[in-house]
Amino acid sequence: MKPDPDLILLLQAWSDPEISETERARLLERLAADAELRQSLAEQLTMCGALRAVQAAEPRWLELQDALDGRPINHRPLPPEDFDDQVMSRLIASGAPEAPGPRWRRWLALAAVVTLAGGLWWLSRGTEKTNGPSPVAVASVVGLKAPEGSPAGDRWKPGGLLTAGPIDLTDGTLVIRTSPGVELSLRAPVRVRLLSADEIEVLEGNVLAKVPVGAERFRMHGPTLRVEDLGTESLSSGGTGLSPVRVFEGRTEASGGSPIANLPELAPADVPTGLGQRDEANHGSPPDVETPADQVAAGPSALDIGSYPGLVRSLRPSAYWRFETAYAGRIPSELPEVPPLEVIGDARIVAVGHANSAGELSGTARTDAFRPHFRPDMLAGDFTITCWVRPQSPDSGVLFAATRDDDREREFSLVVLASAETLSNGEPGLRVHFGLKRQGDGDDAPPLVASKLIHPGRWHHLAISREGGLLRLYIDGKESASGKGPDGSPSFTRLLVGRHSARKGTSPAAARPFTGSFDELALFQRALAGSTIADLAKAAAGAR
Amino acid sequence: MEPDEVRQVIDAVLAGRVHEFSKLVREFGLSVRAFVHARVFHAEDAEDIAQETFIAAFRALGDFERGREFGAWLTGIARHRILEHLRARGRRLGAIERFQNEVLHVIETEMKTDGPHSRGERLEALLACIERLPDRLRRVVRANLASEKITRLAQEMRTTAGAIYTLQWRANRLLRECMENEL
Repeated sequence: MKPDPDLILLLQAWSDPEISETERARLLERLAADAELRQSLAEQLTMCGALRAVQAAEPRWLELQDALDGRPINHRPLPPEDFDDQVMSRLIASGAPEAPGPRWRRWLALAAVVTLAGGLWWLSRGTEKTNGPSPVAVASVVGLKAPEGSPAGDRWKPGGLLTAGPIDLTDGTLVIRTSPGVELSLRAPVRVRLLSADEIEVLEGNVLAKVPVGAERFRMHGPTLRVEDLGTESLSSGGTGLSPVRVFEGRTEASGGSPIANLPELAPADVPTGLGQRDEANHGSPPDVETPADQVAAGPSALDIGSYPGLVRSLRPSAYWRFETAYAGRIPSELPEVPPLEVIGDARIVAVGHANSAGELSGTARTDAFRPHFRPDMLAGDFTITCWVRPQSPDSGVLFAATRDDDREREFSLVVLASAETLSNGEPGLRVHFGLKRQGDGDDAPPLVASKLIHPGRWHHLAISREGGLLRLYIDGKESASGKGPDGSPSFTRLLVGRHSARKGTSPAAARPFTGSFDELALFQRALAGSTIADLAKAAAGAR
Repeated sequence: MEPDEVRQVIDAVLAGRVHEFSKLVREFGLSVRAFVHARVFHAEDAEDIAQETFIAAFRALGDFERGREFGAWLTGIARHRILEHLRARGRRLGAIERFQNEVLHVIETEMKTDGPHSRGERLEALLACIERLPDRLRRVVRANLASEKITRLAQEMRTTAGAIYTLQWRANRLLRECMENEL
């Protein structure tokens, strides 16, 4: 049986922008006149909806969770009586086992690596047990690459089914595939715990993960980090105790595993001046000094917005994070050369990147197409944002923009941008503007304009704060502008770094991305005192 | 979940045991998400609307008329939320979304027909049916009909985007048959 060609065209037009308006109009006309075609399309669309829902990863409905009593919601339907282990086993076994071979090299460029050192942590966890194991198989063995005669070869036979539980590998590299299709490569010595078909806890050693289409939101847990794949081709993480993340392509979320309560308040005394010796000639290398993951400290860190557009938001107030070294230029295709992106504490970093090919970022972000989980309390009322910033060029660009994800209360807008200027001596500079406006205020609420310029190639400490109705802008620890802000309580759910959302009402110039580096970006849900900001700027200035 | 069980859960929630509502999410979540995904282009928007549907249902639970089918009530809320979403986007709707809107308007009656595959607990059986598809069709189904993925998939499978949609049509037919046989 062949399909009605117009039905195929309708399916295509449903998602393909290449179909012309004329063709769409014709299809609509045909559809209106043909009951059989309408029925066929309805069946197709209903099935497509069912497929999208059933194949998507389990959603995390945080707003609903908050509306209830805050406890996590288990979305998995209770299995019907006939949906037993046998069905699940059949699902897993039907995937064609694929022995590790030449694709390994591609994996190194495209696939994900998690290195989470956890020996001590493992010991400290003792016999603690979480998330009871599933009684059904959650993965199958693809293959084992191990020295001949290794006892592991007897245990990990291709096609063997794995239920939730620990895996302790002392020899070789084991490749397993979870039921949604995530391929995990465990390199000995490695100790992990399979929590479910879409969740793994890495206790010790290296894990590579390739998350295919349809298996989004695969989660990996470690001692200080949770990594969640949002549909990337690959992501990676590695390190010794710091749990850094490497992102090659696509989208990932990483959030610190340390409870926020364990983090000290960021105060000048907490920022050791001995750390963070930035080596410009070796920019991108791992830090000289390792910092315990649960310690808030300034380190050599930067996010190069020019090559790695980022989107950052906080899950919790006063969270603090840092970007460990910059993605300068192209990301190298060889894994060991890729600088890590590190998350500390209970902050969450959402990085959005798109690769033209393996290991190369295109430099454009599609933040509009990505809607992270809704958190209404990210920036509300009084706040302070501090960071170090180094412009790469004398071009204007947006440093920050705070927005809301929803259409309901988009009442306020916050934009911090740097506009190009030339000093009388011909030296290029950038003047920082900080605007917090309420819709309808028009020109009655002009942005703050810094009295001091910042300069390309130099690190500057930047801070903005709101306290009641008063806005302040600080450059290098000194108040550079202040003025009255809008009435009411601004509320934002997302902070864009280095770019604007470019939504309606934004001029192209104002939406231009900033080219340069950010370091030690921090959010506070209160207005820091000027003296504290001065101390912050002074404390780490030596590193720059 | 039988209607009596649904009523018991609703009573428990209204009595203050709010987390009991998560049982309704677990029971009806998949079917509501499937309903929304069939009508909303962006997966992220669809997930948001599905969540908003349950939040609205939770807040309006006291208004739920006993004796009415709870799934149908949820679907009604979801439909309303979708319309709100489209209205909110207004002129910012892209060409594809405008087209989808018009198509959905034309096939509204046909879309209301409840197929056997829309029941939440049975959607799980769809997974088993997917696995029975031939490799090529299974691959297309797993791409989930997102345009960028279809283009990439067409390149990977060395075919045209149009051929991918034909494969999708075939896969959907087979899946429907499989589910009818299963159930």
